[in-house]
Amino acid sequence: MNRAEGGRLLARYFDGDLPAEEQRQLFEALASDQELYNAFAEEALLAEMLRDPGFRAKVAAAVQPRVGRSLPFLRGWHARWQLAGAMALILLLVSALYFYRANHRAEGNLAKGGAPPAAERPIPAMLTVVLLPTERSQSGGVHQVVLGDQQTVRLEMDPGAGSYSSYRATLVSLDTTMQRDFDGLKSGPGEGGLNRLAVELPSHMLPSGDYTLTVSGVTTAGAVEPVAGYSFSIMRKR
Amino acid sequence: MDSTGGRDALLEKVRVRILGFATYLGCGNDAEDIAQETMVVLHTRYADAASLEDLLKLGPRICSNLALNWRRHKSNPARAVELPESMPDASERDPESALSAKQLQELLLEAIRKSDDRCKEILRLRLEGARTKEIADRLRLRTGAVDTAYFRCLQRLRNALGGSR
Repeated sequence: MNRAEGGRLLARYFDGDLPAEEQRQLFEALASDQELYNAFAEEALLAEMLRDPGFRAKVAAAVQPRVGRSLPFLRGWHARWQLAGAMALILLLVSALYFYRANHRAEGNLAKGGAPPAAERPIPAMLTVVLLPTERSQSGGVHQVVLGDQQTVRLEMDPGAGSYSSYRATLVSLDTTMQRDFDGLKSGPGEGGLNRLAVELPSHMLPSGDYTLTVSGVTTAGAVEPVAGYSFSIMRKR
Repeated sequence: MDSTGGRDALLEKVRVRILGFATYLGCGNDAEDIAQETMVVLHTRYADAASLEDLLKLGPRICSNLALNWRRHKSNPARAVELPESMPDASERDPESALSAKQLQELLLEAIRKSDDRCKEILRLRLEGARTKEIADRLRLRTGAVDTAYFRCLQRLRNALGGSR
């Protein structure tokens, strides 16, 4: 008889449902298997002591589940409620962590002077664009101006080293459907505090397309001298 | 083999198991003496117990009482009191056996209180009269798992008897 089989017979013996023949087999096994006999002896001692009503009552009190706790505690509807509660708590913690991190990131961006996300960024009423003369454009190409919902576009240019009483500018679309002249322009502080010439026009006058801006200087004698030319493209955000 | 030889062989089988149990209870070098004393008690007080089954059933109680008594004497010999053998208590046990049983109960009770929830649950169901199969159903375990858990529980309670393996 192996150990597992002996253990099963032992359990059935103490359950009181072991037939006489199997009982005889069990006791033969007990006589030859010390570990099985030790297990038998322990249970027999406990069973004998439990026949004492006083002791039985004390044991019964000692093995009662503690108040507020189900034994085994992972069983039945208690377990399901505990599981649901645990999941709700985890969800709450994850949500709290997510919102905390989102807020923390936004605060960090503001503290660092970083731009808030595009969706939260207020749209300025005016778009200022600093134009470089065509021959000085770093990319060698056309300056791309992306126009959003701004109402006004301000184009700023370097007035150059010449000394003119005023400036004149002409803005023409490449398809010549739009032309606008600006006279009597004076240089003044512009973007970044630098000396600039500036023209402003409503954004609706600048549909998507390519443009050229020609700047001339007007001398005190009234002569008009070319100063610089600029090319740029307007792209509309959808 | 004659009947005397058969009886001697039977007693020797029982003695070996009792010796093993006394060792299991942690009696060490004195296990042999305790086993011998157990056999003397079996012979003198339970002379009518003749079958292997009877002897194996009686052995643990006598042996554990003697082992506990031995432990008590050993741990505090100055306070050990020789109790008169002829003075039975209400349960008709001799005073030393009664004292041992009481002490054993207290130790076991303490061990049960300290045992884990699974052990307590199985003991509670056993006290309610549940059989292994019923316990397995109620705890949603296989019967083999209940047996294993229960015997592990008893093994831990064994420490209450002062045993060490």
